[in-house]
Amino acid sequence: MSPEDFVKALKERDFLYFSGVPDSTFGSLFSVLENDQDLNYVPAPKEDVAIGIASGFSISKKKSCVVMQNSGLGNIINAVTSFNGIYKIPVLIVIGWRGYGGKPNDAPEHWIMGEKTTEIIKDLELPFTSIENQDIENQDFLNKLDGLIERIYNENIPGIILINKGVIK
Amino acid sequence: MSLLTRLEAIEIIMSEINDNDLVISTTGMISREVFYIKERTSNFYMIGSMGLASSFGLGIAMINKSKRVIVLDGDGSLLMSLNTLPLPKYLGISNFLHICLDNGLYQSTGSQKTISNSLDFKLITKSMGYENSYLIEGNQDELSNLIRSIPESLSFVNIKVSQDQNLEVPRVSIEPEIISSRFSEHCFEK
Repeated sequence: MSPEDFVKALKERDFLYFSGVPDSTFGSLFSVLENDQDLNYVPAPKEDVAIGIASGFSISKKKSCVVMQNSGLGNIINAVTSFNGIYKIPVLIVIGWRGYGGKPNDAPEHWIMGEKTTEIIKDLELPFTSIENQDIENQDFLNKLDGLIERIYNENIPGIILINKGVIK
Repeated sequence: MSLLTRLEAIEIIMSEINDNDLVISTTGMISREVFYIKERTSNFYMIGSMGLASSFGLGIAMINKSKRVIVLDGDGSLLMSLNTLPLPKYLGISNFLHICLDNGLYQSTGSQKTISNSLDFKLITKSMGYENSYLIEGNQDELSNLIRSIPESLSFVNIKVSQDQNLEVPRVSIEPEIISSRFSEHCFEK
């Protein structure tokens, strides 16, 4: 899927407000977010700041999305638990999966988090789905995305979509 | 000149601001004291998630351009979120008033020292792009006049407050979920 198609899918679902910290997993997605005149994208210095900004959008009745990589997952845990979770502030969090499955995939700094990512996300008990290449091939991506968004806004909590390398290129 | 207590400073701020200002207060004693002094539905008491009040307020200010967003930080929470300070200028936000109640302590956790005495928040925020940066040390009238007449552009105020603490101030007794839902109703611009 191209970054443009991914953004189009989110725009069609009323996501126009974004923040995040870049990740090479998403190819040119961040420049698409920056250059699309319909969108607002705030480059955050750290992932928890992106969650703070996106939560400000959410409470102002705008659907919001954070895009980041899994190496920043630890940085958002306090925010999504002690803030979004108890104040019921929904945010769609799109996370790139560096070090998929652990060693020897990707660079050494991604091995441990690459292996632990899904366990950590599942422990948070937030709505969660992951997208791999076959989900694009058999057109399951939009179903998974819609299912996640429905849960996020029914329960008013953040939800995570974990995206494998090569899905967006 | 003796310093104002934090409670006195909050009392002055809350009496001088406008009714339609949105107030975001940071975790711990600051939210408790705002709740105690002047509870309003357009206050957002941010219990927990220390350091996040400024980024949350910034997101709100970006959408609600016709309202002023006031963030009440402490020196500890401001130090925790220094990385957020360059963003308002970068984003061209002007409806943002950032106030720090600086007692040099993490008072809510038992008065451990912060490092705020060895730095200058006024200089830092100035260099981060805040158009107006002020330091208030003490005088009640000075703070009243400043809050009443502060320009409608990106502004920061550091208020040095005493380390006194009023132990009678209760916890915020409103459920977080209710704080959110009623606050959200003040964010009208869809």
